[in-house]
Amino acid sequence: MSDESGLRQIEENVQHCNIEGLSLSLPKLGEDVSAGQLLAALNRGIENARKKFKLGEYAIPDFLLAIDAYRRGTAYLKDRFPMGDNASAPGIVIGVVEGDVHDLGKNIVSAVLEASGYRVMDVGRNVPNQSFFEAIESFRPQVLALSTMMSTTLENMERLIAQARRSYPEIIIFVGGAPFDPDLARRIGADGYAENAVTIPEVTRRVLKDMDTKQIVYEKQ
Amino acid sequence: MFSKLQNGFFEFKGLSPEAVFPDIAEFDFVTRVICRIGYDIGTVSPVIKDRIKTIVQTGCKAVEMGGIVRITTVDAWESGKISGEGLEIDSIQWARVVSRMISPRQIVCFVLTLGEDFDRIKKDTALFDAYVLDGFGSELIEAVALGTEQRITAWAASNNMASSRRFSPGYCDWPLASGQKAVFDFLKPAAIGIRALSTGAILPTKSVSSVMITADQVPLICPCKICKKKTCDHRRI
Repeated sequence: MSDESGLRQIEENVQHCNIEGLSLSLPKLGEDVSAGQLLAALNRGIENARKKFKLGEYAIPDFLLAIDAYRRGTAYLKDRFPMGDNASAPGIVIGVVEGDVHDLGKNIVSAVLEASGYRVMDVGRNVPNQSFFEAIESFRPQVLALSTMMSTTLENMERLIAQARRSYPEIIIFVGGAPFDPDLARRIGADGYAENAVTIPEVTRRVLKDMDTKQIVYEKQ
Repeated sequence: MFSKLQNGFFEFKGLSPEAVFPDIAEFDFVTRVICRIGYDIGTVSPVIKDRIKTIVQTGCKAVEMGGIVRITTVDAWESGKISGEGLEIDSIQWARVVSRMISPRQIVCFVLTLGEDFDRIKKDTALFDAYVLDGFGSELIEAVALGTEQRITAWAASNNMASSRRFSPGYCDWPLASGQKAVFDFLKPAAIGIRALSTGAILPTKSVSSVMITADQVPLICPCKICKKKTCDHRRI
């Protein structure tokens, strides 16, 4: 199998959620294939799956299967090319706020962001405010992503956002979960909101780009 | 279940769903989960269907049902609250339902859980598997809660009483956080590993708490007919 056809197979296995096929095709890749080439093939596969989901050709679980395949691919990549994390990629601290234990949505968003090239530190569920700040201190992220599926956690979430604003004015804050719409996200003090896990990479890219622009404008002033 | 009631109290732990609710075998959980997670039952591939079936079987093995049923008498239902010994339900809507009952008798309060192991197996698994397990857990705990409701209704009927539908903290105008606290203070389910956070969330995650009211006659089984919120998620008519 040529490198080109091997990489195409990798891409298609991710796109078509074929984890078994991917597991078989990964070890068959030639020795000349670089880490960059393999990562690019995996990225093309997950991006194609994301497009299929946006077009309604994939149901949510299909997209999750594609992410599972992608993760299998990146695990293989890390084994074959041990090189540490990409420190230049934007970092994101993500967690479910204190008082809430519903973490399925957060886990999906976390995986989607990772598959989109971000460095992600997942701090779990029912996370005390102080633990978010400790994570920010240690991980130095550009984005803080907060999730809740309940309305009874919003009061504390607003306090957490206000405190994060005071302590880390440069950080971008996203919120997500059942209670939110763009209006509530704005009112609670967040910079961004994504309606679902599929749009989160685009929203993140857009907000990060806007923030860069703002910083340039501020610097000129 | 109700044959084991002692002084209006019954507690169990480590049971299979069938032991708690024998009719559960009639539920086709694989089909329910397939539909719940977004597939069309007519077009889902056999490979996916088989995988979901396997995950549901794995989930079944992790279930260790626990629960508590406790009964108290209805003492009052004025001022938008239903009061019994050790339990107060702060809901104007449900107080209206009780005010229409003929001789309100009892508040039957219960909490049910699939157990901690069910939460545990969702961790560190593939996203697809976790998604299927989550859907299955929701379907199963709702089915068991429905079965419990039916058994309470049958038990009330065998004692010449009727009963309301079940309702939970967060339903209608019963506040989630304070309602959950009232229920958990009354049932004290920590002994069987169920606890509520101050926000009203319950651990293990696949758990439900509910209340039913019995009376000699129950003309209105829930407030939906007299409620103006036509788009309510909990609407039952």
